[in-house]
Amino acid sequence: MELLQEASEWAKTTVEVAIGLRLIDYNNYNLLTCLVRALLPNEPRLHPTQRAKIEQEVVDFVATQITTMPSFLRIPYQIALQGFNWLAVFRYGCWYTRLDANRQQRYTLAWSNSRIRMIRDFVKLIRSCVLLYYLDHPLVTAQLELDQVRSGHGK
Amino acid sequence: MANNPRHKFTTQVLVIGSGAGGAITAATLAEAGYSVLIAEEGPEVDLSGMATHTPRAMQLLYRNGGLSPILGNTNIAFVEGCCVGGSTEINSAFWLHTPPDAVHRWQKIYGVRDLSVEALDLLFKEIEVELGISFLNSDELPPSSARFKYGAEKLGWLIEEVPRAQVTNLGGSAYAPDAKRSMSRTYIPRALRAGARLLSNCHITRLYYRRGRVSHVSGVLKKPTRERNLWDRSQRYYTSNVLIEAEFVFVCGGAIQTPVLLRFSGIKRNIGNNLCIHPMLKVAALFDEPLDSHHTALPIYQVKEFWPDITLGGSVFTPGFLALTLSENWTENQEAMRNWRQMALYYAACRGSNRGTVRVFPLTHEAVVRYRLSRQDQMNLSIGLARLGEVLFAGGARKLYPALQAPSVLNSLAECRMFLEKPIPISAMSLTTVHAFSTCPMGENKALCATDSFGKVYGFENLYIADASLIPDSPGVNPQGTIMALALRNTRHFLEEKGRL
Repeated sequence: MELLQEASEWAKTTVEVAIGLRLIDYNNYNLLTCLVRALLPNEPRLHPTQRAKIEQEVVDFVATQITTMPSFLRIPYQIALQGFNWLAVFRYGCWYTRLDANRQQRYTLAWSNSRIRMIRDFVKLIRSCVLLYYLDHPLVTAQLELDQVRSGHGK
Repeated sequence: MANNPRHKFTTQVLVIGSGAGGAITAATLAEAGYSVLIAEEGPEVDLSGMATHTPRAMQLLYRNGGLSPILGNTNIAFVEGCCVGGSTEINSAFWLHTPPDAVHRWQKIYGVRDLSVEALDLLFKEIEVELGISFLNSDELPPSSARFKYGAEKLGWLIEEVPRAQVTNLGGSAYAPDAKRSMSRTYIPRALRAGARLLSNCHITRLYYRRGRVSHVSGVLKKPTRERNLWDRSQRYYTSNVLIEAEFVFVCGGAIQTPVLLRFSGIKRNIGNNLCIHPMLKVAALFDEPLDSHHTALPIYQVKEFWPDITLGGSVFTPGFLALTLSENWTENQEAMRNWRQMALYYAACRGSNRGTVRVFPLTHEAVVRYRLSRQDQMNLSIGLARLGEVLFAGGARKLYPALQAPSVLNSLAECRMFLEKPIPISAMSLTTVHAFSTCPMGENKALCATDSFGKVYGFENLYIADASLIPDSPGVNPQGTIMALALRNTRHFLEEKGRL
């Protein structure tokens, strides 16, 4: 299909749009990494190296999904992410990112079972992205199939 | 006027959007000899070999990566395409004719003139040849559809196979590369062969007009840089201003983006006030034997027994999509994932009875979409879930996992029938929709309509709309066929008026 000639002169008078409202710091990225780790399903069992690689992809996917949300949702969501991190201080005396894996999971579970819908929805969005990306990853799907054959399920 | 436009184009006809309405409009006008420029906000993506329901495809092809909520008394997840070909690249390509009762209603309430069921059917037939509309071979019937069909027939309910815009026998999956006859494979190439130009990654943000005549439009062109975003490693873009002068402007951005563009440009009369949707409640069903739904074609049957208010059908399946349905009660339901090969996804959809709005968020120009589920919608979805349960249990299902906060699992027919008497609380529903329309209804009733009976915006002599937003109200079926037939009808009328037909 046709690509227009004018497109070759991009770089001269361009403006970056990725910055501004969309900029988030590394602190949030670390927080998201911990959160994804707490929400990632234990099954299927993968080789640790393979799992770590996919986990990194999941974090990137979730982060990208958050940045592509409409800004009137994205900004409150990013503030909520900070709130999630800081409120752990009141409960455990340190930030969520500094908690051990067990406490991170308990804290995340408490949020996902909260009586307040907004709090539940906060975790639900990340969990949905995590589950979708992880379980539709070709390596994970292949492992799921293999596990089914091994366990005799669905023969 | 756009500030210091870097790129300037002049054309006879500007078509904004390349989805079902835009593509057919562009092809028809280009073939009639007009100089046509198609401006598409999304990228041009090579879809050969790409399954369009993967997370990667969501980021490439879907608006907001698939995260576009409709706000209301319960949030509804809405997905639409944002790429060359629009939503036809990501939908199930179901093909249904406009129901006669909807046509009659549009004539009566909205005053749509010169619209008949017979004339529409002729247009449908013409488009069907181009799109290769076909039914699935009976030997390819997916097990999940077979169970569904068996259940409906056992109950004596009306069930129909829905034809799709597809080339058959290209492999097991409905998403097999090149299987689907979307706009990027049909009407866009046709338009380009007839001399149209395509400008992808071009977001038109404003129309400029004077005395009822649009003189030009402005927007931004995006180009990926070599850099990645610091935080999420996503793609960064450079943008530059663009200005397009056109004699005629056809806005075809879909039911959400068209009112956003018009309202932001100051055109607000009956624009964005009449949003209709088909809310959908998903259910995962567990059967005794493996169905391997992830390997088979998209389910193709719909129960029409309760149509037009309620439609029941099967949904696309992957382990990830199954987990999404179960995620409402993940702690309780995650064990069900062990039996994922024995599971399939289904839905109960209703014809939304309320009206929503589309507004523009200040500063960022993003769409704010609102729809409040009415009491009638709540009842229809509850009845829909009860009826879906009846079909699935009759078809051999052992357990159902609805996308509800509670109950997380339905073990028997009696539990399903409970919803006939006691509707599900709205706040407990986790809903999705892929059908949105009617935000700029057409017709001669100026109290309700934004355009005349042929899509020309009231008060303008060269501004037209040709997309889902024109459909006066909910047709109760997948709207792609209606969008295309109306766009073809209106474009032909335009050509007649201009003496080009």
